[in-house]
Amino acid sequence: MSTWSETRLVAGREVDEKLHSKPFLYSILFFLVIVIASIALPPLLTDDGPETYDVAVVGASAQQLVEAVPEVDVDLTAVPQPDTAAADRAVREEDVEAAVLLDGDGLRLVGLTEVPNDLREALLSTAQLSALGDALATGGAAPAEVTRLLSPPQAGEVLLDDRGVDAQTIALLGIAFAFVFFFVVYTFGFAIAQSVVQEKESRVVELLVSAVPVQTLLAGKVVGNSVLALLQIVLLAGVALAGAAVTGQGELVGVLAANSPWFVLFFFLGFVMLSCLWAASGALASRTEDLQSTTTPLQLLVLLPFFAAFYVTDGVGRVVLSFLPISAPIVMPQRLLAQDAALWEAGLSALLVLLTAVAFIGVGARLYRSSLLRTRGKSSLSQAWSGTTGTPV
Amino acid sequence: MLKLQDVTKRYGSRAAVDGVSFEVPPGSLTGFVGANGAGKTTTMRVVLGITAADAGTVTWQGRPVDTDVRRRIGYMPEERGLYPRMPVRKQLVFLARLHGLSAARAGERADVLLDRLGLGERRDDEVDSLSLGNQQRAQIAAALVHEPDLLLLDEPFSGLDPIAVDSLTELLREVAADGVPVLFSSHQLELVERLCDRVVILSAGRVVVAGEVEQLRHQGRGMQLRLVVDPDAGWVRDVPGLLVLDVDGPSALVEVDGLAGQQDLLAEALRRGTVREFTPVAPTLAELYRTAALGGSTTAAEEVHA
Repeated sequence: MSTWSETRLVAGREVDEKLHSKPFLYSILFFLVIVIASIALPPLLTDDGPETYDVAVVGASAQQLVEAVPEVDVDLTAVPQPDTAAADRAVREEDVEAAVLLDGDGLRLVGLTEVPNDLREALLSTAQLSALGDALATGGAAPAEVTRLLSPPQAGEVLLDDRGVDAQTIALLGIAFAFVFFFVVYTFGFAIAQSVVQEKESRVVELLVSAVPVQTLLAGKVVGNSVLALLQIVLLAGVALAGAAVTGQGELVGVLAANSPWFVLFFFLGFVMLSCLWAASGALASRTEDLQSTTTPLQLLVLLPFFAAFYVTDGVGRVVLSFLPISAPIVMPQRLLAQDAALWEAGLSALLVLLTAVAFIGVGARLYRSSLLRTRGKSSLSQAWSGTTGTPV
Repeated sequence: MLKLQDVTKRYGSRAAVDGVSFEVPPGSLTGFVGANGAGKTTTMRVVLGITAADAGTVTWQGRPVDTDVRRRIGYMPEERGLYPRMPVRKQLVFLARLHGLSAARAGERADVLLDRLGLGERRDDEVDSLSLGNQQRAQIAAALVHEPDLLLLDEPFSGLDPIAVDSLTELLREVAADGVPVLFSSHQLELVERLCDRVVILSAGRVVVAGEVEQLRHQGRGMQLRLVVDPDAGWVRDVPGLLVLDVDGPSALVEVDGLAGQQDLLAEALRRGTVREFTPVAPTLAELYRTAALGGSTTAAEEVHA
């Protein structure tokens, strides 16, 4: 039998066991609920009460229009600006949500990444009503003029930043990516360590290594869990995309679709990079209770980059983190999302993670091999490294 | 035939197995005997490739044991273990396939063995939910499920009740009769004596006795005789050339060299009175073991020819 088919058998057993494990299924359900909630809730939550907007206005007629908007769905505050450039600047600096220009060309709206729908509608209907009112006050209008006034009004719209999604959403997505990466790597990594120590604890490991080489056993375990972790990530990304599409957040779908492949790639490389080390830290223990201490270095290796990604959000530090293999899988997708990393940077960073993965797999395999059959007590790292804990296989 | 030649395994400065040589021929049950820590488990692990030997060779049918050969070995570790949360049949099929059986064949074998071992009803139960006795049976099934060419069992009888011992014995005899060499370790000497055709006795990592059980019991040292006379056997102490092991009133246990010596002793006994009993006594395996383990006679050790 070939090594590959053995690896597949071992991997298949891992997958089968997980799919029959209730805690695992619940954890998937939990993640799904979180993702669906984070997509579906924000539009619902923002629906109560009139939205308050600061609106830049240029000229008296624009100011009159804004002030004429009744406080039903929206509550507008007019912020007069001397000219169009000043209004644009106010929009860019996010002092106001939008700028309203009213001149010979009709009504024009200026937004940064979008003009809120309720704001647009309120302005348009007010403008329509006042035009109708004007027409009536001046003693009627020609039939063609009435038809024009009654047809749905239009407004010219200019977006100063047309990426489609605002910076806040980008930041939130980055955080979501980081969280998902952290939790999935942590839970699956810990699951690998656990399944290794359980094989030691139940002593079945001796039967296994008498049938297949140790490296095949390790490979099967890592492949099985990686496939499951990847499937979970793809499932979450898919649900997020579908959710965004269903709730009509078209711009979000675009951003997600463009960035998910990068996220999945970095996730996969980052997961594989640590997976053999997780297996090794399981092998270093001989009882489940020992896992907390044998996996501590790895827990730090996952936790520290996660927190670093939160505290170092700009400057050189962030660039360094996006190339440092242990933090790159979190930070590089965030930089890509924010569009402040070039493609070559992403490629280079992915390559660095891949190379580190190869090195870590070597280290993990060695530690795993030398400590797997030691069933009494914990093995120290140095013992395991020098192979004096158990017996070389 | 499985053959070990000068196998040595050291842990630090201590030799767990020290120049061990013996054979396990097909068609027979070979008992592997020794105190705890004598090196039985280490020896088995070397054969299985779980532990690498520092020196010596292990051959199967004349060729060094490699991964392909090892896949054909059935093994029951001393420390029992299966996946606790996995159903029995699924587990057996997994192990059989890991040893190279096709999915279909693995399923057939698992069913046959489960029925044979009385686990048919429990095939879909998790191992954890089985009684200890049934877990032990599942473990036996795990060693046999891939139709091994060689069977290595580490203390297969420990923890079994007498009836289970009998049914395992019967099963192992069948396997051996199919031409599969069976090596099993045990520290229950009486059991080994009863079951085994051959025995290998290990002490402190060295083979002290190896060979056919019957042969071992009758070779290699002076014949022991039980003599019961009337009225008193005290006179045997005065017979020259006789090793007196025990005298108790009318009965005595002595060791004599050669047939002539025996006849002389019998003649002397008849001359002195009534002879009620004059019986050769073969040593038990336990006695052989004790003698050997205490550093006494190793003359019974069978020479293993390369």
